[in-house]
Amino acid sequence: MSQQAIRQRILEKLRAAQAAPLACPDAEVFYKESMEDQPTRVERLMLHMKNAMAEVHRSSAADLGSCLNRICSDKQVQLLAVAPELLSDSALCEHLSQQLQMLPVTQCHVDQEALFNTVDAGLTLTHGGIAETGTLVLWSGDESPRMLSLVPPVHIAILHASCVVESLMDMMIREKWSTGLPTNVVLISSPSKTADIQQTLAYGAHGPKQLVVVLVEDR
Amino acid sequence: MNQPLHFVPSDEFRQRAQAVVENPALQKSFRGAMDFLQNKRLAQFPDDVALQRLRDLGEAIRQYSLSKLPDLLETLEAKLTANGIQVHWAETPEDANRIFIEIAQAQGARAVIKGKSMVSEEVELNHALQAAGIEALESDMGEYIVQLADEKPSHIIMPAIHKTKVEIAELFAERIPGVDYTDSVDELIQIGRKVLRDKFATADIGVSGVNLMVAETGTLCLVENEGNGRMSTTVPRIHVAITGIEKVVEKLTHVPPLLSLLTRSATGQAITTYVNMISSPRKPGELDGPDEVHLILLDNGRTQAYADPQLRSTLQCIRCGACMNHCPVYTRIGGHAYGTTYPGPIGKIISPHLLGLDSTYALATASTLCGACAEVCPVRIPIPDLLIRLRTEAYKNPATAGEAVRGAGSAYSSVAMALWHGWAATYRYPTLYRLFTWCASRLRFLTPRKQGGWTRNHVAMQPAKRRFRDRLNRP
Repeated sequence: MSQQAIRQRILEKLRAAQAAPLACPDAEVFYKESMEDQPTRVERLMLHMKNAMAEVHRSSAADLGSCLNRICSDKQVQLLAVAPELLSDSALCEHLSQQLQMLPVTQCHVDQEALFNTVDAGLTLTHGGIAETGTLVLWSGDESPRMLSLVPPVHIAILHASCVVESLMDMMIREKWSTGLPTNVVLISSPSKTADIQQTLAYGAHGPKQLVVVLVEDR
Repeated sequence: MNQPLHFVPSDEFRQRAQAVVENPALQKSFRGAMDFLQNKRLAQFPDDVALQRLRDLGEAIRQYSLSKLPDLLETLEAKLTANGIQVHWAETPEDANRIFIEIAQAQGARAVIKGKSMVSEEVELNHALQAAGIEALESDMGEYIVQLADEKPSHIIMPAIHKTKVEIAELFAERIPGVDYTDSVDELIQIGRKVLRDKFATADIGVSGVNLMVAETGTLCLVENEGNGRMSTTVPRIHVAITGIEKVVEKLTHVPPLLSLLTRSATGQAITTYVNMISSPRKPGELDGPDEVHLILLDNGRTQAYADPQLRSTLQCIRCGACMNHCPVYTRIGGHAYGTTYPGPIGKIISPHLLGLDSTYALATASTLCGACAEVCPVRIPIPDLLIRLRTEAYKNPATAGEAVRGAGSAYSSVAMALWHGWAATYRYPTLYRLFTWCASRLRFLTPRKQGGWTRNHVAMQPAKRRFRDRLNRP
């Protein structure tokens, strides 16, 4: 049978059994706007992330470079893959390059070989954060490759405090996600982990063994 | 490698179950694992009122989605196609495997890396690929362990739940070249990570399942902790997702409540490490991601469940596994005894549609109807009601059984049916009942000492010397 015929058969079988559609449930009303102020919300996100074994740091926008350098030297990061979205920040890049080697993730390709074998950490921006579950939201794009937050053993993510919202629902509605999503949206809430062997939690399953969140307090 | 378990006859179900019940080590490991999962779930739902409201919403969303299923599938297909994702339809496991192999062969693919997908287990994709000369390697740690051991997953969320770390340590030392015995869980995971990393980097195709599909945006949502799902869907040049036709919702805002119910019910996590939402292949200018994304939509009996208003609720399932974690039967016999891809309560109600009632009706009878599954089901599937319905279908007279379920009437026995009719009549007519009990108490010496299934585990039943009624009248 051809693809088209199979498709037709499945849809016909479903149509033959279909009754009147039910009323559409309103999931949005379920998620109440929280009354919390932004700093409290951010604290909650940071607490959740810490409890989930992510490492959390705070920095002002001005000190970001030195904060990242401290983190990298602490983790003995020598080769850092930096997302292109951060390369336009020349002050930051200059700061970083004083201490470590930066992998030129250029605007045309990701060096997969290096990412898998020699890169010590990946540095990315984040689209936002979710306080309810302690979650980072990353949108893929021309300057935001997906592998930097996945393949190297350490993922360092920069989160702007103003981008933290209460819930995933909140973010979806505010930003009108239903009108169009990027190639990939990924929510990250801890380092990669597994409990597949005798329910024993182990970190660094296939993704980063360490997740470092740098909260930038932008006032 | 893995032998297909599809064709294991149900009458061996009892023997497989018996073997597990008599194995104290397995009993201990299942009990421990289920207690662990139950407690983790409970800790996520401290407020029962909030839980019930969320379950109401989850149920409403799933029922609404099913009520519009053919429309949503068409919208989804149109949206995915516009986004650049290629949609394929499969009525049977053979269709699905054929489509997959065609995609692989068109690309000259030799190696496939798989993220966790129960639907790929359902169609036995690994077998089909192997037969076509394509290497398929599981990358979820649990699935990898199970594949190394030539076994099948025994749980839909934790595939290797039947194995202890010592068994896994021995398995790794024996099957992975150059690996010495270690029973440190951290070291074992690092061994798995190392082996599989090389495969992610070199595989031609990454395979994944799908937890939810969103019609309005054309998005595939995947939930996981390890990162292998992201690896499989990001690194190889081609990503093929495979899932059942029922997993679609209309709106993006329908995702958060279901996601929250799913992860909290499954593993007791407020959210999993990664939630991966894929809406297209790599766009021009993007630096990574697969060039091609395919979605295989599988029917395999789901349209049969859909056709019956009562059985349709089977398709509300979001595959969290909470029903098996709370099932007293699953806890004692484990996942392999069932002999089907999906074990536990959900397996009992979905398998008859996938495989026919003739080979699966025994599963529906292996339940005390205690209702624990329905009590924890995040989308309120009335599992005990469905079990009763499937039993009824199985024991119907084949001549009049109808077509609601393939294989209906396969458990029918005219003798048994006559006995039950007699039983019903006895209870319906008081005179007959009195006559029966009078005779039974007088003729009690005739009671057989072997009473089928009952005397396997119990003392034989015998009517009392004096009926209860007589004792009431003349104490």
